[in-house]
Amino acid sequence: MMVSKKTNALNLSLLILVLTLEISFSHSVKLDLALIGLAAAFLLWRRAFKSLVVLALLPLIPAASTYWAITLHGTDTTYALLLFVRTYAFTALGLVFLVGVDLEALLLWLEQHKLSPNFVYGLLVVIHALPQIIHEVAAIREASLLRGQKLHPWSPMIYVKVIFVAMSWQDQYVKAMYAHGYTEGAARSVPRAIVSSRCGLMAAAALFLLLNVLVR
Amino acid sequence: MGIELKKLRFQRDGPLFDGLDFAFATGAMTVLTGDSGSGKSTLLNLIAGFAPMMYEGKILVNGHDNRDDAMQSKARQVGMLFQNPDQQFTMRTLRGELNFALENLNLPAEAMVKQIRQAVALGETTAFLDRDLQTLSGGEKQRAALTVLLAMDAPVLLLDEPFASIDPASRQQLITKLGHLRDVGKTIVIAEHDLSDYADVADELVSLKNGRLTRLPLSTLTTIPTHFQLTQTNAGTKPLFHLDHVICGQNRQVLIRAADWHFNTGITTLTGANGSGKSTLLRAMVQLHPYQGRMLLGDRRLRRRQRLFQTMTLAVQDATKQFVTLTPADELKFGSPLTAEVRERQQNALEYLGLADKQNGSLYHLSDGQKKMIQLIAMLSLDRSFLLLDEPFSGLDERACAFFTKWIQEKAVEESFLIVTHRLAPLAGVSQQHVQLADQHLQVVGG
Repeated sequence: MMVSKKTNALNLSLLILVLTLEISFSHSVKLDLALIGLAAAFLLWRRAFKSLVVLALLPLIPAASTYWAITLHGTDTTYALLLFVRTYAFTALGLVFLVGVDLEALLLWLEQHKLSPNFVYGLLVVIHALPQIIHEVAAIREASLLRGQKLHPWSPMIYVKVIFVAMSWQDQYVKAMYAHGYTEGAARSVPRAIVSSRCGLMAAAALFLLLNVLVR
Repeated sequence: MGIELKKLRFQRDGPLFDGLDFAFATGAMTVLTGDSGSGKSTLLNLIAGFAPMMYEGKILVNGHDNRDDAMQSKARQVGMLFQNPDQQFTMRTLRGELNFALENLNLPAEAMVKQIRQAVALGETTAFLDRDLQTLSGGEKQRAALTVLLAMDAPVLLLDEPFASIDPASRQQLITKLGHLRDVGKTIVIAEHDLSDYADVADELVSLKNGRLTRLPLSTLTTIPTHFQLTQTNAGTKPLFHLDHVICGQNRQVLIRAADWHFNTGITTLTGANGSGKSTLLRAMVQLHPYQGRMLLGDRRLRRRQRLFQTMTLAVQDATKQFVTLTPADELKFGSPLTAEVRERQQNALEYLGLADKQNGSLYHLSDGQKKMIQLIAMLSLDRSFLLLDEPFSGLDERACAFFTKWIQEKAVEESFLIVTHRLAPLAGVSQQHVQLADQHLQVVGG
């Protein structure tokens, strides 16, 4: 008997993709605002408070400078306002993707739909190594400080070094995957089917329609 | 049966193993010891066969030469636990990793469920089966990795210094666990430089030196290390570094309480059990770790400022964490410009230690011992009045130890040193004071 595991990773990714395309072409400020509101509510529900702060601050400078640039060149502030909220809406959707989509489930679903396991598991290793890479950046800055030199976050030296360090980890990771039996091109058993939830897809479609009916 | 090496030849900067014959006992726990750089890691990697390495001769695991086997069947024969707990998982959770490993072995679903259940029970890892692996401690990660190996059910387990970054309690727990696994029939080889805690568990003690494996008597595990002279009564040192009501800890656990303590000038050796907080104390002293209270160098209160590192600095335990650049040559000249005299000294050191031709290669291609040498040359080239050294002798052979001890001694005429080390022999007759950290308190030993 095959056990199956339901995931909404694909549905949510698709919804975000469609919404991103829509707001790229739509001129509705209301739609953008509704998406920002929904995204903020989602982040609150997932208790992703850091992401909320990022949502508030990260787009501020690009959004404000676009607004300023357009009002400077024309008299019509509606278009400037549209681009302002659109920048925020893009960031909001991006953060929902980061917080809400289980990349592991998405990649495993893709593997079961014929994406190469080498690609899937290689990418998973990289995704799971990201926190360590961030830690390495801190370690390099500390090492430099111990030698009496301050490396600033924008110093290219840090990033060149981090790339080399990460590359030196590659052999270790490959060895570790082999040690856990991974063999390129070999048959792998599929004990549980990863099924993209139908209900989730319906809910995503319904949300999309509702947004378009109610907000526009 | 077990693991047999027959006429094993392997090259790494010259021959490392040259016709090595040896058999590791089946169903036994063998502790493999030797200096870092002696090739313990390489030997385990050769036996496991997970890294591409060219060798001559034969390696038989349970009578079978697996040289040309697929990784899948190698992994069924030999399980390997690595030194760095962070770099051995592909998936986010232990459950995910267990599924990944058993899917790799192409097992049917029912067998997977059964083997996972057994392994988790044996490894006692139920509690963090679904936790993000990133959030586990080093000890928990190693237990998780061991659980994966148990699920894969390989008869041979190789462990490559698995406890290097683990607190003593977890270490003891894991060693006991390995003892149980040996009792149920696993053949275990564990590379280890710290022989404590193995006395009741190990069946064999084997040392690797100059490409030769030799059985040592098990009584070596119980004999107490000899006494070293680490204090000098007429040293004439004076107070240098003051800890005033300092409380310092890690992960909400207090490690050090020092109400009123002075480190003196000259060369001081600081010892203490694994995990007692020596490294944390050194990091706090260079203001890289938070603490409560005040620290004063001379009569100046210390704060984390760039200027501080012109006066004192720290050579950290893991040499790779000291490196800012990518090649030894860049590393040695990083920072403020060096005088011609210092640069000449560096060149002489490189030549003496056989590193002259490696200056422009990658730092990451050096052995651990060679990394340590580059680190020490770089740090000893700095002109600082107080230098803290965390495990400066790890992975060095005696000749290199003697070289660096002499350098430290010469510099000690004008500068002061605080040295944390497990290896006391190089400092015998050199160290002027001996301080111990035990039960959160610093105390003077002998003298």
